[in-house]
Amino acid sequence: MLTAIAVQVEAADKENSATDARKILEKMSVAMHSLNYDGVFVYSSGNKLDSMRIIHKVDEQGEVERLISLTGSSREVVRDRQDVTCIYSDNQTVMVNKGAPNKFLPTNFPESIARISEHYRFAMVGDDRVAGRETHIVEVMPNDEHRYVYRLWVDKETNLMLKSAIVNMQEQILETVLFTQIDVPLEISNDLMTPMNAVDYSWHTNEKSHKQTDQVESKWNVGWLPVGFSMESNNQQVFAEKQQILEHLMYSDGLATVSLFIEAVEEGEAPMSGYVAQGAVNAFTISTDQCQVTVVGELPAKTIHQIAASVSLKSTLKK
Amino acid sequence: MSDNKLERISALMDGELSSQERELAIDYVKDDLEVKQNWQRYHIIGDTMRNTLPSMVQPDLAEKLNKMLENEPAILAPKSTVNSNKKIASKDFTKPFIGLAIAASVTAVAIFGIQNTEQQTPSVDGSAPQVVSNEGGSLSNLEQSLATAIPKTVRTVKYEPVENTIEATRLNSYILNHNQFNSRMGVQGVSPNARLVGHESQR
Repeated sequence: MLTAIAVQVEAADKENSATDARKILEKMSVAMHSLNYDGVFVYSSGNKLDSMRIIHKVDEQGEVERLISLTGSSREVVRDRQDVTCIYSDNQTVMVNKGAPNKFLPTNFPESIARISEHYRFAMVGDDRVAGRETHIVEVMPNDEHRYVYRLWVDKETNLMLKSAIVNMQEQILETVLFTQIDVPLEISNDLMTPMNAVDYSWHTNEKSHKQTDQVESKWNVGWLPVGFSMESNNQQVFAEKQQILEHLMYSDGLATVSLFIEAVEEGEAPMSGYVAQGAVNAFTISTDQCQVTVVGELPAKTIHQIAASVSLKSTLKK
Repeated sequence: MSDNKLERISALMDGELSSQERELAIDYVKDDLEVKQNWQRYHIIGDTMRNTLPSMVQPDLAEKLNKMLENEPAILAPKSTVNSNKKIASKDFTKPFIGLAIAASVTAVAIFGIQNTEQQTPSVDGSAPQVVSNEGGSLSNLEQSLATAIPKTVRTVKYEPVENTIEATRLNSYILNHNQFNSRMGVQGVSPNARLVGHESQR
């Protein structure tokens, strides 16, 4: 009898924790997109450690975000309503991606959290102090072993995310973002949003927007994906290094994303195979049906490998 | 026990055997109690030499592993699935590593640094998910049990990244491409953009 009550109480606690955690995540999503902030964080991925500054400005025209490396060569990414611009000083290159989908609207986010909740459980797992501020720790735990665990430290006052960690099932931390200092000013001057001077650099602009109209039917059948992954985009891209067309399919479960790149293996070209990891991002390439299939995503190596191995030419196209 | 057997085990530990020989050698370990005890002793010697001896040595670890594996039918199965999947077996990238099945192999692979790419076996007709998830589930249970039984440094069966090759360069540019695309989807807050900035270009 007592045990039964204890079990019930425990279940209720769990449910409360999940509800609270979800509310905090919803508030966090809104805060990350609707507040001005200027902070410095440490980003560690695998055995790499970098420090960066992020400046996020919101006004009546929308959001602009500027991310600047403070370690290594100077690099930065500026994102506004239309474009994502990456500036790399080491090889003097600027890459502009036009036509960013309008996913900044804070109103989108509760919906996406609803989607995430289908394949992950939320829980409050404690309190901590980050960048001198009090935070809640929220855990986002996958329902199966094909994904990673996400832990988020959310400022109790501003609801901004001050720390995040991507963790595998063996409790190894693969990627961490940790703010060491953050300001939340009422206004941010436009001067602060001006990117570094890169007029002399070589500019590469990807004019093509990734709209629905670009979608063509894929020739490929992806035999296996973890449950809940649906196609976010499907388009043909020109792979800069080789000037060769490749098909790019992107899938997401609302939190993790995975890209499939498929291209023809030309005659006389040796098929490749291999694997690399960068923090939480794993990449596999294998060849199948005269094609090179490369799968990249922030999912465990095993999952990425399984996805890659499941790709085949649609049977109607086989000779 | 014959010296020949001991020699084989020693060679197995040193990673000097071909995959076929490895399979045979692991069969010895699996089937012969005396060999098994030697196997354990060798582990401990090896661990001591590498300073990775667990603070409390568990001499019956192999026995426990065996028990665990008896309850892990899905892990014992892959050998046959691999063979039935000609498509994957024919490619050089992921040659099945001695069925990956056997008790000792899970630890042995890690302990002796025979790094290996785990063979996964989604079948060609797309009926993979069931097979795969069963297998994955069992493996992760096993990994969890192992986690408590042996120290971290010797635990994991690892995917081995390629380094300084054309493949690596190419994979890295795909990662960059993925991250760029990801950053405009804006799914995960600062993380995708941080990956972009964190990425030192290859040239």
